[in-house]
Amino acid sequence: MKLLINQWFEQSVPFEGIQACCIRHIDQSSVSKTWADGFDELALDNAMRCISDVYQVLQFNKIPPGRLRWVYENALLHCERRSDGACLGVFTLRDEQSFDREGLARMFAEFQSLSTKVSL
Amino acid sequence: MSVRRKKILFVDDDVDLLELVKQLMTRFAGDSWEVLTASDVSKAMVLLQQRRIDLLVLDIRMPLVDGLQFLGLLRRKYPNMMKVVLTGVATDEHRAACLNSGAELFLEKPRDEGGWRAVYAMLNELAKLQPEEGFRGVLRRVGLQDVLQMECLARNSTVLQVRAGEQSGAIYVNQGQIVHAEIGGEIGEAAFNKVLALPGGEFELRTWAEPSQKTITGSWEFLLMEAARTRDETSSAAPATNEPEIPFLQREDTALGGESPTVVPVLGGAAPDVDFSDDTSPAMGDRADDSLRPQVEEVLICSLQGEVLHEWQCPNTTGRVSFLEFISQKARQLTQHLPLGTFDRLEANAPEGRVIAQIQPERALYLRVSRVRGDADAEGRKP
Repeated sequence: MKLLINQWFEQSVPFEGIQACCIRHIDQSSVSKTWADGFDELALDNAMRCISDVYQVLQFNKIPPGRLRWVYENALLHCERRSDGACLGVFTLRDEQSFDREGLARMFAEFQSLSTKVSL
Repeated sequence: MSVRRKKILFVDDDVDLLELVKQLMTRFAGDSWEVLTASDVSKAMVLLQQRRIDLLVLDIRMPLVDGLQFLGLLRRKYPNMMKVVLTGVATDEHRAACLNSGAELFLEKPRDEGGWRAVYAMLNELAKLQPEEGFRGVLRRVGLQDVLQMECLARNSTVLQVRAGEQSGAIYVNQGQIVHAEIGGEIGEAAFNKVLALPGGEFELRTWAEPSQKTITGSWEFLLMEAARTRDETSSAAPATNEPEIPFLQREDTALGGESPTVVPVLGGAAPDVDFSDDTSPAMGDRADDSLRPQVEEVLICSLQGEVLHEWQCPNTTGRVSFLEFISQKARQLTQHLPLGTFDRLEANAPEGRVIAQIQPERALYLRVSRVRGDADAEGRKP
């Protein structure tokens, strides 16, 4: 599954306003891509490690773990976790109008549906 | 120029393990660390009183005092000190509980030297980080009450000697029970309350010595509660402080059948937008269903020192404050080396609704919102 996710990630097409994205697998390995300055691989890996912790603590607090959106002064970080534990984090520009929301939705939909493609 | 040695404190009830850890860590770190050890929570508290500890590493499975309780206390009293859990029981549940209680890292005890070297490398990286002003940015001194509570929980026998200016008092704890207190000419519960109400000064834990008499028989929980109540009453009699005012709005709650008006807090300027229409997440369900409207289910506002300023329908205020602290901590860690700027809020979206955790310079907000059918639609569904 990890291989398939990584292949999809490699081939995924950037959308307008995306700055970086990263996937963290259940085995704690990660892959990332960046389109903006300042988003280096190590920092993205660290960010996704935090996200994994957050999903665990959300569950501990009985807060349904759906899509997370971290709102910062300069950027948004959107995250989703698959049932197999893999997490996708996507950094976009802060302003809602400055990134392609449909492109973002498409990216998450593809990420979530990857297992279905395997079973077919 | 000399560099200050990092003070790393290991807390574990396994004395042999502590000895091994001290040897290994001192060898790995050379002169850059001063390795301190404590075999129980009380000893750790005394060291925390005496020294400025940079990093505390603790086992969560210790007899008498639960490591999670200790973590919670540490977070309140030493907000800028980094805490790591090093345990033999590394389950997901324990991990989540420890992270939620303020641990920066959750590590499994290694079985060989290579494993210990890896633990050292991780702790060393963490120790290099400068503590940041965070959720509990205001450092508060550990209180006499906290030490007393830990002594009682640990069922220790000890004498707490307290000095404040000209006044000097003592509280005697025998196997976890407070048996005697004295200050000036007073003894018993009155003396106990007086000692705890001392506005400042210093205290130390002394080896148990039998008091001349036993003047207290009540449970320590009750005694501490009473002392806290007395202190609260005293402080509430003082002039009012600058507490934020939270306006309220009364509205008919259709979800409750409109039988009784429900008081819903209106968070003037404090609450972020809870408009569901901006969401593109499939987790939010059918976006085309515009009849769904947000309904506030739970609100908690607290200061950055963790004091609850306002709560509405919050089933577990302590848990929510802990959650906000955790989010604040992670939001800061997450932005390390990334050009994200200041954190504003986290939104967790699920089909059931949305949870918002907002951290502002003065206060933090927890808001839970569910999606309910709009009034018109709800009317149409009535049989």
